Amino acid sequence: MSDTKTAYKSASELSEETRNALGALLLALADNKRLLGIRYSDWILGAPSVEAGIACSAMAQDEWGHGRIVYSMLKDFGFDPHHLEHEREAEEYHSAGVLDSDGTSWPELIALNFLLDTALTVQFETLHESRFEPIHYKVRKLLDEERFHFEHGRGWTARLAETEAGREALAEAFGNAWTSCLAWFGPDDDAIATVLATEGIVSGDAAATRGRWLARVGPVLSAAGMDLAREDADGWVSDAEPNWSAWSTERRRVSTGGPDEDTLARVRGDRNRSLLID
Amino acid sequence: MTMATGLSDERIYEVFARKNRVDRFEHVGTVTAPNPDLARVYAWQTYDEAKWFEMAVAPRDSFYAVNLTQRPFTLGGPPPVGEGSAADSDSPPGYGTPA
Repeated sequence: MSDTKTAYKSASELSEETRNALGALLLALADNKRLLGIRYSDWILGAPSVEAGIACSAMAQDEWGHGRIVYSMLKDFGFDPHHLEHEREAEEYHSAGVLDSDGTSWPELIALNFLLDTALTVQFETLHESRFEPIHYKVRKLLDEERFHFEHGRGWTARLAETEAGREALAEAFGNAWTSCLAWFGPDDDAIATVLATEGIVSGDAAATRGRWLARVGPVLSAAGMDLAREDADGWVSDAEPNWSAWSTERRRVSTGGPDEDTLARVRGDRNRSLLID
Repeated sequence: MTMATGLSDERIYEVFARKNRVDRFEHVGTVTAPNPDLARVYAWQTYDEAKWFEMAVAPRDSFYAVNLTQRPFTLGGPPPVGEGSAADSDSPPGYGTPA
């Protein structure tokens, strides 16, 4: 058992088990950020108002920035950032199932914005005071920007819930995204979350971090008339149970497969491949 | 009723910001939003030309006219700094044509 107060200055100071676990978590965070950025960018034109389109543009840029920052950190974890960003197949992406294909409606984008983006933010919050110090400054900047993503999701969730048609569209979109987002944190005994929490790299294990996310999104969902989460004596809980038999701790998802062909081409930048400079 | 969303109660919010604690607030522009949460997000993401120390929004219809009878911000005049400068305006401050 190591001293839980000593800070780590670089990845090379971590034990192999911890380094692999943190590397996997960071890769999953980066992949989700990169794909989420694409989903935001799809609505820069065609959002319900000019202001909402500008917000999507800003959020897309934020997500790609966050993804880029995390990919670049992975060099110290034995990954080749160029390979990670441009050369992987669908099954090698560690992104949530809900990002595999393009959504077609604004409420679906708001589900990604409010549920998935917040899940990733809550995970980054667990790294805020990590023993792995190189991540501190990066997390602070990211969390600063994410405040507005959360408020955008919250504002639009409340907005759509004002009408009957809006509530129906919300219920469908959020219902479809729910299990995929809930699964992000992993089962209670998730291998990676347990190693990282024990080592003081993250501030909570899978159950604690999931609970933190539920407490963040639950009240807003409830106020919007959705019963995806409920508050009991122990805090906010969900009765939904992801199919953990298909859980991959490295990929942070319960389904096999990965981004569809179109998404894969976009996320890898296939059309611009000839422009890449080594 | 706005064409964009089909939702009924979008309001215009006036956006104010200042770069430093010692500065006065500048009126930097407007956003149209259905609720204060979204007005705040839209203002921050739209008027990102400076690293603001402080930004605030208020619904246009929350302002009371003091000397004129027209509602504030509805007369012409120099545009807010976010939309150009006073030098672009043909009219002296406060005497433009109604928007």
